[in-house]
Amino acid sequence: MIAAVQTALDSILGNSPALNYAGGAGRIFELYIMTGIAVEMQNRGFQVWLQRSNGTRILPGSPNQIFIQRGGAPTGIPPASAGPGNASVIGMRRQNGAIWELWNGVQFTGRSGARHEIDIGLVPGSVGDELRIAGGCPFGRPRVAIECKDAATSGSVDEMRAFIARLYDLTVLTVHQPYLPTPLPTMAISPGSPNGPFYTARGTYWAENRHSFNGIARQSGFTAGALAMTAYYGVEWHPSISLNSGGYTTLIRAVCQWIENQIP
Amino acid sequence: MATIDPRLTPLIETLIASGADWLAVEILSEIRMGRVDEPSDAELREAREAVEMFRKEKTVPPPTLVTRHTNVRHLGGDEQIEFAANYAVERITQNIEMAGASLQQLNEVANRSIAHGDVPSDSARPKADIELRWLDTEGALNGPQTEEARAKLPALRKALSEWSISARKGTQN
Repeated sequence: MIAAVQTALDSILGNSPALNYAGGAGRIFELYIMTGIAVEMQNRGFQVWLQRSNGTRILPGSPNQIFIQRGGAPTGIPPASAGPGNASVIGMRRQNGAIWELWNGVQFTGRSGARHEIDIGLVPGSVGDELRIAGGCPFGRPRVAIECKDAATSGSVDEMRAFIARLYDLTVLTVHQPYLPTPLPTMAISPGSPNGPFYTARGTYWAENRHSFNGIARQSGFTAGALAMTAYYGVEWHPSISLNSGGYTTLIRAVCQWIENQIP
Repeated sequence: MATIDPRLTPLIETLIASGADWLAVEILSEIRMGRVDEPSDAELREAREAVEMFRKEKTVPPPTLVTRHTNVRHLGGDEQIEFAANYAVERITQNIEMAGASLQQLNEVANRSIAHGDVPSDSARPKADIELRWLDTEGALNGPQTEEARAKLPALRKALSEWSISARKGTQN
């Protein structure tokens, strides 16, 4: 009996590299959400494109049509000079609007100096351009931050605590300016942030939480106690994310509606 | 924490031998933790509406939700075996389906990016054929590979079902 299981497993897993390493299934889960956002933004009239790590676009007919996803470990943004062999991103802009980049598994630097992975993050394209000059991690917080949990175990209150703590460290407020290595005006993210009121740092965590989309997307659900902090910190819970599920549709619509309504 | 039934050992060893040690760990973790009550649809809707209010209101403090007690139910031996067999096949199936859907969506984005004027539109231009790769991981994934993997899933489902029945009857080999 178990030999038949082994044979069937080998024939499937041998052909699916993402299933052969720890975290591979989680990365696919993130990619499914990321690409869902991209398609929905196209449906809403945005220009959306796939972009290699050196900043060039992946177009049909080009010899290199490889979309590279980060593997197990999160990293910063590599320099463009390192070539197209690092992690790809998805670019988007509204008609005549600013360019934005959707990142997957990138480490952001917090005020403490610690680095935190954001599973799916939306940042100004100019931040990506600046980081691709020499490589590095952004300092501050993305406008969209989605924590992805591809686990059947229900999400606990600890999961919410961890995400809020990460956002807390990544939040740059105007009152932090005297302690920051970056010059005035205080921006929510750097380097390379565009100027303008949408991009400047807010005065309180409450205001910053409202000025961004923050969510936890789970394959399964949440334990009852986990919802207690969601309203206070403005973190959306999105359970039951599976293939074409109602939970998936709700998440994609919520994120894309926020992007369409808010970003310049 | 639940005690792991030793009849699961052959499946766990097989998963590890096939390179799916992550799946073995997940199954053991799920069983040890037990099944928990989840919020109802109404509670989740309430939580989402509360976040919406939080975003819209400028001066009113956001509403707080009442914390409920979470009940945990541990699985018995036969339930553990049935759970493990189902979990393994559903997890692999979902992953393959999501990988296939992601590839489709990547191709859609690449094809439609032309229509928005990034490059001159040309009906004779070839369609995108995106291949997925991962940093620090050997191999790649494309559309035909996901189709091939999908076609093999019924055999895995059948094998796991037969193992589950025999393990529960005490006749596994």
